[in-house]
Amino acid sequence: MMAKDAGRATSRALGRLRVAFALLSITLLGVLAIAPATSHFSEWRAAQQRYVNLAQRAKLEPIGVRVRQAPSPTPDNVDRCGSCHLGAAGVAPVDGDPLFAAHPSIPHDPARFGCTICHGGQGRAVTGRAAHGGEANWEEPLFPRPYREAGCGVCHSRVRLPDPELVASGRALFAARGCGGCHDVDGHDLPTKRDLSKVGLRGFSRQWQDHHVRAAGESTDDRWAASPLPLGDEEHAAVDAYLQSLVGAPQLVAGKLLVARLGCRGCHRIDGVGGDGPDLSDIGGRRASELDFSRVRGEHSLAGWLRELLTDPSRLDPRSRMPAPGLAPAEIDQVITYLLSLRTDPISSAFWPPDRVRGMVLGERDFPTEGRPLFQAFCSACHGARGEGRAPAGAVAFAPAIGGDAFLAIASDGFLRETVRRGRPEHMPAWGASNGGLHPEEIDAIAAYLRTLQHALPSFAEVSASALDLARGREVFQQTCTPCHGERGEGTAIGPPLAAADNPVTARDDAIYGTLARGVDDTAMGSFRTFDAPTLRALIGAVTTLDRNHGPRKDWRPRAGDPGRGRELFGRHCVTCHGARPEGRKAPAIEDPRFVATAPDSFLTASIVRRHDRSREELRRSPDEVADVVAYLRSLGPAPASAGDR
Amino acid sequence: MPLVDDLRMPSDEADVERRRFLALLGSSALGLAGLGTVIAGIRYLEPDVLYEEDTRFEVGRPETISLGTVLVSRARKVYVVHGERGFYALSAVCTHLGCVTRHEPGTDRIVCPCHGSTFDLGGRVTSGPARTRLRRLELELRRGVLVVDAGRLVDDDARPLEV
Amino acid sequence: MREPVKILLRSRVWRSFARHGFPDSNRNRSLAVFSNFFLHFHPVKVRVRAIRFTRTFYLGGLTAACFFILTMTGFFLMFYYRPAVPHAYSDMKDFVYVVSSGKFLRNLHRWAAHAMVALVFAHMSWTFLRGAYRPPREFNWVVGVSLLVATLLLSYTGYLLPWDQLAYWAVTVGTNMVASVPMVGQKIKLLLLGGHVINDSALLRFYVLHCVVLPMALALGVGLHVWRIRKDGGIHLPALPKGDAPDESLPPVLAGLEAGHPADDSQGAEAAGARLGATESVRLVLDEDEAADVTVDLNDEPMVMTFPHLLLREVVAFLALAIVLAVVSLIFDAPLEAIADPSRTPNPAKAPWYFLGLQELLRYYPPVVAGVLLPALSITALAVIPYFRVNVERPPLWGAAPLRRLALLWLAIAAISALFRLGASGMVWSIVIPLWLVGATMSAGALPWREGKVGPWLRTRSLPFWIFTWFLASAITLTVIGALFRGPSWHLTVPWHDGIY
Repeated sequence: MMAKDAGRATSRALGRLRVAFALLSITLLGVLAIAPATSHFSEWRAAQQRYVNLAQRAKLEPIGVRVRQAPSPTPDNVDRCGSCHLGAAGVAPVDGDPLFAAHPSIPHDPARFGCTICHGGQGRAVTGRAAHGGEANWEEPLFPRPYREAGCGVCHSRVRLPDPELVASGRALFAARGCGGCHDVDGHDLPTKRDLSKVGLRGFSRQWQDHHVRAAGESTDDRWAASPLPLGDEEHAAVDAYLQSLVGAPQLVAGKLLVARLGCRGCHRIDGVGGDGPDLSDIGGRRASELDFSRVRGEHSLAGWLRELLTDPSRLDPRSRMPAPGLAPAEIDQVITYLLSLRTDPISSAFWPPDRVRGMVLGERDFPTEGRPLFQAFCSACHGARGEGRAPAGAVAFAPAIGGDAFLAIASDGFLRETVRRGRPEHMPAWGASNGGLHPEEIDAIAAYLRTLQHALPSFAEVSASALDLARGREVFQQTCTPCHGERGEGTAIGPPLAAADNPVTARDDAIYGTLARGVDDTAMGSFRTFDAPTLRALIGAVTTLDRNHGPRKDWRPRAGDPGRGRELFGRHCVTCHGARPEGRKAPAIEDPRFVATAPDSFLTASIVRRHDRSREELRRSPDEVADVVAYLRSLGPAPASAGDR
Repeated sequence: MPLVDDLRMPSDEADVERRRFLALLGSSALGLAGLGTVIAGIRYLEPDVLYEEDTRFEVGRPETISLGTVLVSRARKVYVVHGERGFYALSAVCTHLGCVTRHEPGTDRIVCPCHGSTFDLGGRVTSGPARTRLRRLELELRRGVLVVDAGRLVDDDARPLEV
Repeated sequence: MREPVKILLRSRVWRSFARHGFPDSNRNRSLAVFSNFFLHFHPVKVRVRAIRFTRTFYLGGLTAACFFILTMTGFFLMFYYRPAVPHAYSDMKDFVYVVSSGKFLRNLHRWAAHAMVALVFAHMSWTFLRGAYRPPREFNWVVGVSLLVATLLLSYTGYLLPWDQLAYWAVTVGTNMVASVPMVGQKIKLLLLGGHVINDSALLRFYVLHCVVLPMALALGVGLHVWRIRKDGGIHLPALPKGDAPDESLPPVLAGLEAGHPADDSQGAEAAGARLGATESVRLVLDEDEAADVTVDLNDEPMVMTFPHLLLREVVAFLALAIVLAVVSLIFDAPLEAIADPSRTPNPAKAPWYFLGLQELLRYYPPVVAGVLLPALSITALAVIPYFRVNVERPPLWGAAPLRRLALLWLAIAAISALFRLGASGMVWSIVIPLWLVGATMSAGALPWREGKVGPWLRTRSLPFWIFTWFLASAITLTVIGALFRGPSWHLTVPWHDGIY
């Protein structure tokens, strides 16, 4: 290549390069300027500029235009919502834009608590879409409007609510007596009414009735004349319970009470207390991206998924054992509000409310620990609201009726406690401290409550006062006592002779009454409380007039049966309902060492004799056969350690 | 510019020997120092204290865990299985490259989301790129409660805990 | 306009730190380059052929430019980023939302990192294809390979810093691969993580590696690399045609030697290299007119002044790169997933794109092989390429006896295919099929081409060239499969049907 040609070529190239340099430099300048410009001309700045203009017109103080940041108890620990939502950030409100309106009156200062702890969303973001939770990497969108109160429950996770039934009757009473005429329970902050909407959190004097009466007496105001008092003790307790449930979050409270009333914790565990079903302690923290929405009819969010679940659980998972709760749509919303509040996210302890400290640090319960509400919260979902038992269609297991005399007559208190504590294989969870999480005194309360469901026996005085009808008595004796004690009360393999001369019980009326009332500890003799006074009188008469020359009472022992024959008998008569195979769905599957380990021989004997439908002939077995079957069952496993007291 | 130093080797053999010896001594010492620095440096980088959680945790009472149950602790990355022969604890960490596996409920399969390794409930590989079984972890019964130590490994063939 | 500047340039202040005047004469232009601390790694004059865009596509310079951009953006990012566990992720969010230009800086840093990795691979491939690794440039090639490794390590250590799910699990996979090395693997993992699990210690160590250790190593390496370019005689150029046989395979150094010198006389090559470095010009046209500042070297090669020809080209290339990266950073946001959750592995958990090929390989081979052995062997193989003098001495591949060589080739291909088939099934797509394709293209070179450009070019490629091409094709295929065709649990997906994971 000639030097001159090369020279010209390079000159031309140089010229082009110089042009390129100039153009590209300018372009780079422009491009680089865009970045700080976009940072500067942001959504929040525009919003704050709008505020400044509006404030100027309203002759208010101008504000500094900057990102506004408040601390937050959430792990993300700052909230910048106030950069656009100026009204909520404590800036003087102006009209003209909902962003600048003041925050509705709430007990917590947004400047101290931030916003996301109550509302959800992404506190660190300053663009609307991202802050409201629209980003793919932030799966905590704002709580939708109907479920706003879930945010309250995230911190106030251990608010103690009383017995749902008491609350319901208290609410009815409050309305019926017109208390709402002077008191506001909805948090509307009316100047004319005294606000009770958060009285459950703030606390109230239990002597409020006395104060009312005194105030009514001292005042000349006409309104006191309409005061609904006085209330009886029970009514007072109901209204107290209702007042205690007023914490400023009615949806949340309704949801929590519904869950307690329906007995969801019979299967579901929340905060370590509950059955063996799915743990709900963090259900509010489930991520939508991990859920399967293919069968969900509503919106594809956690709330939508929960709604589908609560409407028809088997739709989401055909193998689910959860029965459909049968709730109205409004009730479903309330339950969803409560469920969304169940989260295990750590919250800075500087922000813990007293109920959370009491619950999480001091170990106090957030549910009532009396027998009836405990039974309702943990047992009623399977065993029925009054222990009537449940055998719903489908795959859900059979849950025996435990609230009736048929069971309670032969189940001692100790047996009840042990069963609750240890559960039954396959179908009933263990409720002791290490599994279901109930304390021993709570289990005692449940057993005591069940005991109250038993029929009340007429008093001995009443019985003694009734007329004696011996023929009737003998008839009852024939039906009731002979299956164990023999045709003439001579004693059998399973029941001692009643007609023995040395039987101390059968000699005296009051002793017989006592035995019928309470049964005999550690034996198959349960109580017999379904009789009315005349029948009892007749029965006692029949027993006392038995022929007393059958073998001595003191020599009698229950005879051990033959397990082989018992097995044969079981196979022929019992397996159709009680077998371990699917037949066991009609009645507890008892041919199982784990079941047998929970039931003493006395309970087994009493159950066989007394708990079946008495009209079915084929189920009535002779005492020897009963002994054989019991022996067979016992052969499957050892007896429980203590037989328990009555 | 005149050179004022004299860098010629000395004529005297002893001097040469001396120089060589000093040079060797110096370089060896430096070499050792260098080597020592490397070793001390590596020792420096080895952590002397670990800011990590205690690896032991309680599982529950064995009588409350029925046969066939697979308990999953996601936070600890442990499966506790009540098998035919008793209780045992498996690490949920895939042996391929350390991702956290998932147990498919209602089945006997444990699946790893990273490369699709699948294991059975005994921890054995059924498919996928993993080559070794899920590690067995120490499981003990202490005062009636099952306790797992996720930091201690146990033989793959160790007997399950019979209760 | 020039007058005031010229006066300024004659002032005492200026003359105290710059030893040249306004660069309007070749003398000043020379001084502007070689007496300038920052510019003096350039030669004063460069060969015209060497600075053409299509010669190197400025890939090396662009890679260095990326490094510069990364360092600058990295400096800025360091003022807000805290390498501690809850703060790291929060600080990423702060960059995106509140820090002025934070989102842009963060995006730029990320995209420049990807660009740097892509460019370093492209630079390496193009250097290989040009044959610029051949003596005397072997050592520079090795330095370049170590720069490649350093770049990948920088990218890897930086990957953990956002502390999101992607970061956490990519590093889990990576450190487990390292741990599978026999004997020392567990120890290395312990040193890398500062413990047994990935938490604060790991983050801090990766931060130190990413911000201090590796950048310094890279900077030193780049300095050495550039210095060696000068010492090795500048950009490798094919010799100017002399006579009938265009011998593009000989380095220019040897073109200047008399015939008869053996090609592998290293001393001769050294001496010639030194000669070339020392005197680059013979005739200097002392003409103020820029159009004539062209000189010719020993080899009759036209040259131009570095200032402004080369420097302007460098600046323009840098500007173009900066603009592209800035525009991309303004439009596309760097990914940020949910905060790292040690108990929840995302499904699928994918490594960064340049490691996806490796992750795909891990599907088929145990970690020791796929994660440690193969990469180590690949790097070693790359590094030793220049020391195999196959194509310096022997004639082109398809010279004499093409049929025999064809037969050998296909026998080898069959053997390798059988080997991989015996291994894992999925290898077919990513290794064996590229092998066949490359083999077919290779065989096309055996045809008796005479005219055109493609034919003779194919014919004269050397064996290392084809091996490298096969390696590259397999790596690309593996990466594409890993990126587009793998979904949850690493099952095969169809991207236009199931989307890209």
